[in-house]
Amino acid sequence: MSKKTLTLMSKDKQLFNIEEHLAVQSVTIRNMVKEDGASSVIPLPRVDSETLALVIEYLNRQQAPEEDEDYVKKFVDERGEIPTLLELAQAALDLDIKKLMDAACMKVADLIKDFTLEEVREALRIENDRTPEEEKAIRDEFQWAF
Amino acid sequence: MLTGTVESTKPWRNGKKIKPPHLSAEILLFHILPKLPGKSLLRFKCVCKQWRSFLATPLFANIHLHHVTTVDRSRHEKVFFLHKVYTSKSRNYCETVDCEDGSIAKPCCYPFRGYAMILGSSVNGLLCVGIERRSTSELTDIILWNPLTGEYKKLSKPIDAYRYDEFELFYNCSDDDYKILSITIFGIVYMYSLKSDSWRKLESTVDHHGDHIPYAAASDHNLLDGKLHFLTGPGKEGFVIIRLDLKTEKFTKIRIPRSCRGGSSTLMVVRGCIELTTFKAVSHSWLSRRWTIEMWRMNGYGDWTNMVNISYTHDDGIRPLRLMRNGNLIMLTKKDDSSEICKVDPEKKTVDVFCSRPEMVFIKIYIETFVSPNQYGVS
Repeated sequence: MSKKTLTLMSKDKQLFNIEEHLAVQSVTIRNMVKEDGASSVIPLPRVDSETLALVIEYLNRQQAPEEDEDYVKKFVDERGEIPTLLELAQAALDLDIKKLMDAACMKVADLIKDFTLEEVREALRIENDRTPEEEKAIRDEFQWAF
Repeated sequence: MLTGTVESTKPWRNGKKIKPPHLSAEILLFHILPKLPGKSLLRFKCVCKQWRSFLATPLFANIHLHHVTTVDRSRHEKVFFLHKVYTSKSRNYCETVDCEDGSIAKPCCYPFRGYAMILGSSVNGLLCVGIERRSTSELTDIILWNPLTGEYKKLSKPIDAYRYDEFELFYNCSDDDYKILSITIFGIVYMYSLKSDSWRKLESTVDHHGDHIPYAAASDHNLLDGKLHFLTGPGKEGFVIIRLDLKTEKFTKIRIPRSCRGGSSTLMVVRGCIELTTFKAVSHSWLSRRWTIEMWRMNGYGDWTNMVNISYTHDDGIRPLRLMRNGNLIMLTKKDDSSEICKVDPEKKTVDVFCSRPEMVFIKIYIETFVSPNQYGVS
């Protein structure tokens, strides 16, 4: 009996094939398959093709369970750029792949922990809505952390 | 075998990559922020208004605490200590040393007047501090303090507090309450509840009175199956574990392995087992001192199994503070007139001195969290 294959479609309409038994590591996909059999293409309108390729690479890993922890760490380490990691984390959250999401977020946290405030805002695309006075008040209160 | 293949011919990695930011707030607030160290988070309060307000919520404190205690504990562990000489001008009265990289921080200004002693164990980033009037050595106040955020709460006064009481701070998840167990030198037991901010006397007493010095070496994982475990002694039988069933409020005594009785021990509940780690100086000459570390695990019936045995040599060792997961030791040592906190690698035989101070007192391992001592109301 041949293994059943699913087709996933990224935001930019690219198609990816993956064996069903590997795809259902994603709880979101598992539920979709359960609900309607997912015979046709599964659209993932929030995930771009570049990120989906990474997610599929992760789902296709052939690791022994005891090495899995190290594998996922290495997997995100090799993609050490913050924008890529954020996209990956977001996709893993949407697809409900907890291990991958946690590892990607952990890596982002590691990368930004010593950033300046400006660097954090830039890396995470956050607008600065604080007045300099408000910022100074916090700086004064927690001087030792700055 | 089919792997994930790109069916389009369009190259998906060409030219400059432009990533539109469509990150959900969920990723940032619930999955990235809780993985950051406390000190970074204090700074990041300045990033934007949303972060500032979210970081102040009990919800965030809980998520962060959960991450720190269940996933990533060792990365958030610090050695906390006070300097003995305290002047009102000194901001350096308390300091923390990172257990992994040895970095030193001087957290929030020490908020109390008078001489302070850390009572019992540190739980979930909170310290139970006794304030003593210097002239009379009288315990005037008991305070629950989070040195990271600087928040503290003055607790209602115990019914009768003696200088040499034992205090054990612990968190009881079954009623989501921080509690303090206090045992007087006469073996009378009081229990404090942070939720009700009140003390009550237990009917049970502890019969190990008179001949012991207070020895509060439990860690913040000392609850197992609704029973609180802590070490006490050394009495006639050496160090013993006292177990308090929180339902029946009855005490039982558990003997520790014979070889551990003479050493300095710490107790911790790890994955459903009681783990006892004992450090002992086994022999010493003028030149060097040999230490052993034993780790024992206890099953539900009180039977002990030896898990780890390490021995190493260190000249100035006073007291090991923590056995790290990688086998390294955080040690308190004494050189000339200074106390030192250092990391010892027994395998490579290397010693890194993290910090050296003339006087260090009340050295505790603690984790940095955002848990508020005022979470059940401000007093």
